[in-house]
Amino acid sequence: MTVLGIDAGSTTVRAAEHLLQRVLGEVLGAAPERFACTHVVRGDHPHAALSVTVDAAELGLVEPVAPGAPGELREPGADGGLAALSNRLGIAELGLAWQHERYGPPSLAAGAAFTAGELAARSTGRAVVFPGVDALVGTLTVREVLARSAVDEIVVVGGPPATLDDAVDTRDFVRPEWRDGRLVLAVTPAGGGVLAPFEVPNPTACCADHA
Amino acid sequence: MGHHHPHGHGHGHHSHDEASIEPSQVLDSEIPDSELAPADVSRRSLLRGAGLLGAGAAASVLGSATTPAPAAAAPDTSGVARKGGYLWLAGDHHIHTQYSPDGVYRVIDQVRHANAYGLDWMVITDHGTVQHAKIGVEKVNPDIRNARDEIRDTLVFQGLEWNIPGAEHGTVFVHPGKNEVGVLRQFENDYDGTVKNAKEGTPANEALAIAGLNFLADAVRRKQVEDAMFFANHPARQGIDSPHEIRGWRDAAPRIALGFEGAPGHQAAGLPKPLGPGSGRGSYNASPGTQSFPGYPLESYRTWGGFDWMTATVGGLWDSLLAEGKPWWITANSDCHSVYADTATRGPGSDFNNNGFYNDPVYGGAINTGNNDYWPGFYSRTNVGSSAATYAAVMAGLRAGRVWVDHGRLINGIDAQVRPSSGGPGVTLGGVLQVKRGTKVQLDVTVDLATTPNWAQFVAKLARVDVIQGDVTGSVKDRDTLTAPNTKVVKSYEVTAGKTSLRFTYDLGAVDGPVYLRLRGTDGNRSAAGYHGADVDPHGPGMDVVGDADPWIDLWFYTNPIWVLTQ
Repeated sequence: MTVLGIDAGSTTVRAAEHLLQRVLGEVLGAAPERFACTHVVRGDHPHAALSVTVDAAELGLVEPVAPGAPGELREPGADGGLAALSNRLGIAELGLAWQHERYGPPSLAAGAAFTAGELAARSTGRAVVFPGVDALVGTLTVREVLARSAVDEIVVVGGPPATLDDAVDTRDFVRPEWRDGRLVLAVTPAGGGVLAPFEVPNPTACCADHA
Repeated sequence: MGHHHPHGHGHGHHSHDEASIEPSQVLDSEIPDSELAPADVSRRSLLRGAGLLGAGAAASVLGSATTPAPAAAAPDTSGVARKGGYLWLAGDHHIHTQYSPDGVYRVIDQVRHANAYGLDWMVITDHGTVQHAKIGVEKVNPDIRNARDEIRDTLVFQGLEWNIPGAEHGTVFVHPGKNEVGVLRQFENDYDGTVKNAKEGTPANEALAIAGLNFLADAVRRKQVEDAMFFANHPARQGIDSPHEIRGWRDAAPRIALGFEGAPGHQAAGLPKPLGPGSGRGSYNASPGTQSFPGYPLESYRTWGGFDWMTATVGGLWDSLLAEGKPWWITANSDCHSVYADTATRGPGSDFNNNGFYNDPVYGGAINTGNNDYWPGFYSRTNVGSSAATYAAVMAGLRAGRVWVDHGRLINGIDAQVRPSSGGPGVTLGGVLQVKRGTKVQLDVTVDLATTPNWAQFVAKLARVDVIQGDVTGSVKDRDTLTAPNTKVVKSYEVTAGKTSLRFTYDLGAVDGPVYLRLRGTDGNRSAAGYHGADVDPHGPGMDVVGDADPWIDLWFYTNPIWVLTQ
C-alpha cells in the first residue's frame, strides 16, 4: 500500500470528509484494508486535507522504479495518473501527492505531500475509514471495539480509565486518530455509565439557529 | 435600583475612590507612567522592583494621549446596603434579540425578564452580520432607549457580539450617549469578522482584531463615547482563541480588552433528552477543527462544572495570565437566544435577510425543549462591585475586576479582603495590596450563604470554598503559554450546616514574593481531580457530560483575583 495525499484547501474538517466520501465513492471504491484520514494543514491559511492508502493499480499509477524517478506525472486527459484523478473529481484547485509525484498548485500539492507523509508514518490523522470501521455500530464493549477494528487503544477524556467490559455507544460515528503509530479512539462519559466517542456526529454550529 | 440585594450588613468601609484604586493601571506595563496618578507610579515602581515589569515595557501603543478614567460616579441614593464599600450589581453582558439571525425576542422581552430575575445591568449583544451592520445596529437603538425609560432600575447597555477576526465571538459595548450607535456601527462595519469576511485564523485577520480594539480605545480617547470595553465570549468552545491572541488583545488595549467569559451561556443545553436539548452544557460539544489552536487538549472543548476550561482549570490558561500579573477578568452570562421550555416562536412572515430583524415573537403553542438558554439573571450572574448604580460605575467596576460570578444563586454575596495581618485597610477583588517583603498577610472572607430561593425555587447550599493561590512570575516568553505551574488550591473550607454565613481567615504568613489569590465555591454535588492533577486541585469541577448535564445540581461561584505585591 502507498499513500495518496489530497488537498483541496477545505476550510473545515467536515468539508474535507465530504470530499473524502466523493473520492471513495466515485474514484477509489471500497478496500477492506484501506485507511483514509483527515488532517489539519497548519500555516498562514490553516485548512483540512486528506490522506488515503491506495494500490498503485487503483489509480493507474506506476510504482517509480527508483526514488525521484521522472515520467509518472501525466497530463489531464491521459489514461491514468494524478492528472486523471484530478479530472475525475472535477475540482479546479486540487493538490495531489503520491510517492514522489506532485500535481496541482504548489501550496496544495505541498499540503497533499504533508498528509501523505503523516499517514505513511502513522503519526497523525483522524481516521474516517479504517479496517473494521463498518463493524463499529450500535453499542459495543471496549473489548469488541478493539477486537473488531484497527483501533489500537481507547482513552477516556473526563473520566476514569476504561475497562474492557465498559460499553461504548458508537453512535455509528467513530473517528480514531493516529498518535505516534497507534490508532487511538478518545471516548468520554455519555451518561448512564456508558462511554461514547468524544467527537459527536453533529456538533452545534458556531452561530446555531436554535429557534 | 438594586432590588435583590439582601446582604444586610455593610462593613463600614468608605466607598473607594475610583481614581485611586486602579490596580489594572498599576499592573499594565503598557500604560506609560505619564498617564498614571502619582500614587500609581509609585505602585508600579514596586512592580518593577519585584521584577514584574521589564525596563522597556512602558512603551505603549496608546502613545502619549491620555485615556480618561470613566466619569466620576453619581452619588448613590438608593440606600442599598454596601459590602466592602461597594454596591454589588448583578448583570449579564451577552444577550441576543430579534436583531440576531438566530434570535427571537424583543429587547423589552429580555429587559423585563432580566429585571424580574434581579439583574441591575445588562448588555444587548446581537451578532455582527451584514444585515446588523446595515440595519440592526441602528434599529435596535430606539428599542433599547425605550426599555431604559420603561424599566428604570436595570441599566441597559447597547453592545454587539463581535465576530473577532480570526477568533471566537466577543462582547463589545459602550457607555450610552449620542454616539453609541455611531461608534458601534463603524466598529462593526470596519472590524467584524463576518462583515469583513475575516474569520480565518490568519496573521492579517489577527491584526484586524487588534486594529478593532485600537479603534475602540481611540473612540474613548477622543471622547466619541464615554467608555467602551470588550470581553471574549465562550473562549474555549472551538479552540480558536489561541493564548497568543488573548494576550495580544489585552496588551494592545488594556483598558478595552478586559477579560473573558469564565462561564458561557447556553447552560440548559446539556439537559438530557427527551425533556432537554441533550447537547453539551454551554453548547460546548465541538472537536478540534482547522482553525483550532493545536496546543489545546480535547478536555478544553467541554465545560467543567458549567465553566469554560480556561477558567475551570486550576493552573490553566486564566491562571497563566494572572501569574504574569496581567489583569484579566472573568464573567458569567446567559447568551440568551431562546429560552428552555419557552413557548414563543418567531413572528410569521419574517424576512431577516432583507429586514435585519425577525418579526415580533408569537405564542407557538408548544413547549420548546430544544432551547438551550435561560433568561438573563435566571441562572448566571456577573456581580460587579460598583461605587454607584450608574453606567459609568458598572463599567469602572468591571474594568477594576471587582467581580464575582455564580450560577443558580449559589451565594448571596461575598466580601474578600486581603490585608496585612497587623491590621489596616483591606484590598478586595481585582485589587493589589502592596507590602514590604516579609510582611505577614491574611485573606479575610465572609460569604453570605443563600437564604432566598433561586429561580428553580430551591435555596442553593454552598458546601465548600477553595482558596487558590499562585506565584506571580512575570511575563512569559512563549505567548502561547497556557499553564501556571505554581498555582494550586491551598486551602478549603467546609460550610457548617445551619449557618447563614461562612467566615474564615486564610493566613498567607510572611510573604516573600508576589502572589495572587482567588476563590471558588461549590454545592459539592459533583467534583473530580483537576486537569493538572489532585495535587493541584483535589476536588475541582468535573467535565460536563454531553447530553447529561443538569446545571441546577452542579453550582459553582468564582471570584476574580487579588494580588499581593512585595517590595
